[in-house]
Amino acid sequence: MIDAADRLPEPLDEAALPTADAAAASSPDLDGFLASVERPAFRLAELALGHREDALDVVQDAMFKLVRYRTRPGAEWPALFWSILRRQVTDRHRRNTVKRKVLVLFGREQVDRQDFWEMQPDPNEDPARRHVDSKSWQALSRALHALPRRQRECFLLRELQGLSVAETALAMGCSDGSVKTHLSRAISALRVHLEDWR
Amino acid sequence: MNGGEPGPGVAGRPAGPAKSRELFQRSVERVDVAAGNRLRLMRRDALSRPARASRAWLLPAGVAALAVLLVSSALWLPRSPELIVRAAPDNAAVGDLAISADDDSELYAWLGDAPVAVDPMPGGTL
Repeated sequence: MIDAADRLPEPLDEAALPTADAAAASSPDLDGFLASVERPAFRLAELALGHREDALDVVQDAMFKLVRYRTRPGAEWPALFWSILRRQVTDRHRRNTVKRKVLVLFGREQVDRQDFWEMQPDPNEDPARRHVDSKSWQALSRALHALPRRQRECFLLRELQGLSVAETALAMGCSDGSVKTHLSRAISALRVHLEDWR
Repeated sequence: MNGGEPGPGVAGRPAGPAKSRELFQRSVERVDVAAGNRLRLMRRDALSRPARASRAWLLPAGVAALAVLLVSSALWLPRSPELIVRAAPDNAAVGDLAISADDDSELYAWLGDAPVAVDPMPGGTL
């Protein structure tokens, strides 16, 4: 994987990329769609993976894959995108698990990869509240990690992203009933793990 | 990590899933500058890539190729040997070809009189 520092650009404005503008203009609807989902997708992936760089990689892969379907009707994009993202997160989880096992095999322990929660500072925000938010976010992330994969996916898509039951079922490739079951179990488990849910 | 969590009912905010959703929305709205720029670059990079070429033409093209293959093979490959169906010989011809019973008896008599080679060495070969 390319080091994140190599890809991390300096803050820039959108006008600095004329060629990309031309590309975006060729499919303005898809550009708008991706712009609307990129940040929620990043946060969802961050919550699911517990790692900022992994989350960015996953979102990038999901975007690349979705663009292959740009000729499909726009109404299909949301389900396609969330489905792709979900698979990417799952793949990344598996890859990280294998990597961790290999590291253990060679006698090296993986450092704690929890690395998230960076927000633009809000000048009007109370620092104490920001701190509380940060802690709540980390607690939520850890609690989500403790959930079975399907329950976690269901909670992220249905409860946090706000997809409908049908959309969640489509993205997860299961029935509406399964979505309701997974969600119910996830909420019950989170209620046990998270103090402020009780 | 629960030690750092806020207690229940912090600042009168909704508890449970609603609170998580609110927290999530806040985090989405305030993605840091670096991540926001990277996401934007990723989007532009993705949009500059060509769409997957439609493969709808593959089916008719495949059918056409198969048809051409079949026609050309029918025209150019050597024909398989024809089945030779011989006409059944008529009864008169069969009568001419048949070996009579007298011939058989003469043959067997000759075979009976013919000398038989005997191996002089027991266990040996002729």
